[in-house]
Amino acid sequence: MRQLIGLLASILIVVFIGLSLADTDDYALEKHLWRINREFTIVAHDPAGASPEKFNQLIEDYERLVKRFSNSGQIPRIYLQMGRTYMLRRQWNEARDNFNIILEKYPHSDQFDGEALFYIGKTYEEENDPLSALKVYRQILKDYPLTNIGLETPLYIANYFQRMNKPEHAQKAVSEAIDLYQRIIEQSDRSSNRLRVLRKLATAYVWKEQWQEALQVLEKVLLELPSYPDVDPDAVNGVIKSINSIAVMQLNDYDKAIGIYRGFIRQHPKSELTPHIQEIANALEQLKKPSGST
Amino acid sequence: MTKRRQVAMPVFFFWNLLGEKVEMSEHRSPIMVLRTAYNIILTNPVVFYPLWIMAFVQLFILEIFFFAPRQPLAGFFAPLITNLHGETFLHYPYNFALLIKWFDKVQIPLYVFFDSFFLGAMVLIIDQINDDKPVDLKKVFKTAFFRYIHLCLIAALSAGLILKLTSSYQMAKKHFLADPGAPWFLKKPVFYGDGVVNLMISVLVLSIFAFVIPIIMIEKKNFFSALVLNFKNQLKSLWLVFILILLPSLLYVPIFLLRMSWQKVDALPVPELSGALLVVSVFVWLFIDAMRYTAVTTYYLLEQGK
Repeated sequence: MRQLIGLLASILIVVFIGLSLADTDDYALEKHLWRINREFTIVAHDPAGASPEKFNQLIEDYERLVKRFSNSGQIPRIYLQMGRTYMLRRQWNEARDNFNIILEKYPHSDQFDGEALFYIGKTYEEENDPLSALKVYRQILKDYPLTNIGLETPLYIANYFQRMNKPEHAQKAVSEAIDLYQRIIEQSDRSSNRLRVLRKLATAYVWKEQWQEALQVLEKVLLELPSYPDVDPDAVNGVIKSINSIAVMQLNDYDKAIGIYRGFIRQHPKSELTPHIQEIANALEQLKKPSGST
Repeated sequence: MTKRRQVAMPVFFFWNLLGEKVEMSEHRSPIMVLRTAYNIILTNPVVFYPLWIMAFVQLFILEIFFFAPRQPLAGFFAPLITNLHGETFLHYPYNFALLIKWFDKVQIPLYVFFDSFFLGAMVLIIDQINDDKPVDLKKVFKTAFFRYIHLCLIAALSAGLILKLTSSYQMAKKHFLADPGAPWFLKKPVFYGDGVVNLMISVLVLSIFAFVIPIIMIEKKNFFSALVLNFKNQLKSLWLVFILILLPSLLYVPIFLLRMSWQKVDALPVPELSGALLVVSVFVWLFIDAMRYTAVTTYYLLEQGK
């Protein structure tokens, strides 16, 4: 019996050690980075309450990671975090230095480069330099339009104008965002980016209070959802809530939302989402009755 | 002896499924049977032999799933993980969420095709111990091999019934929670009570088919005959068997509660804890299975007068 247990335990240990040694990936880096980032989140929650030693500790921890895993493809992520730590300390030049390292040393990491530019823009915003900030944001649109941050930026610019109390500029930025999103949709296939862009387009229409157009885009999103098996349930609920609030609250047209849901059920009778959508359509039918009778 | 017991000890009764009032003799007391089972596994560690192999396979699978998002296994698993769950699950600490997800998913096929074989072998070991024979492991595994298809069938039937009852409960729960006329004070326990209900369903189903494996292995009956004989025996003692299976199963409750509260791996101070908990749960199940199957087999042999 002991021999058997010894043999089985040895096999498990040998496999564990073998696979640990064969791991050439960034797992160890990810683990350390996650732990430091957790400290970062605590500090970011109340930067004014954090001691200078705490900031220094964070910077030291990030620098140590850069030295230890210097060949990893995740290094730009560490520089991003270092830059963000300096931003919390309101040391804008030091923050920009770290973001610029990413742009200089890793010019082909589009995702990280886009994010680095975005944070550089934020530092200019904090320094009340809107011209430099906008210049950087426009560079993101030009160089990294299809990255996550690139897709966020058109509406962010509009939001920035709104915050600066420039509604005409904001409206113009939203129109540009709509044009850009439409161009991307025409070019993109059924990738997860497409779903994201469609939702951004719907948000842009909502901003412009073009309710019918927003509903058309949301209907398209809903009809395409079953093609994305790993879609986040929160995203599904977000789309349904948006359809309901636009159709019912803005257009006071229950039939419009019910029509969208009935169309979904016809097109995807066996989808996992169908029972849920059927319930929502039934609930809207119920809600419609009293308002129709009055 | 009988007279003394009538005077000195309280006499317990229970009602079997035929509606007959039955005196709870010593071997009909679940505590006594469990105590006997505990003594058997304590004095005969050979009972654990098949269970150690089961635990080994569980831990080996856990190990493979743990390394699946990392090189060199990522070459095969990474596209699968990305397509099924998204790229996030390739990275720390969400690889632990994937570990839990996949480990739970693999339990039913493992139970049907693998555990059934070793549980059958374990039942035969207990039978040999009961006969005061030296345990012949070669013979035990050979017999289990020839009874494998019947063992798989009963395991598949149990697993299928558990899944069916669980999904039916989920449907009923959904209707109950959506019903505005349902008693409001029951809604909260029903909403959070999935774990307890699932545990009771699995204990009930395992109790209903409790004697099938002993009959297949000890009486060498085929699956269908074993089912019929099982129900004949169960008419007399279903509730007792239910308690025999329930009491050891309660050992899993602390693990279950921890798993519930540690569902969000990124909210844990040390995400590795969720993986460690799975390892602990493998050993807890090892002990639970040892107790459950030893108790049920012992009780079956006592009932058969062996």
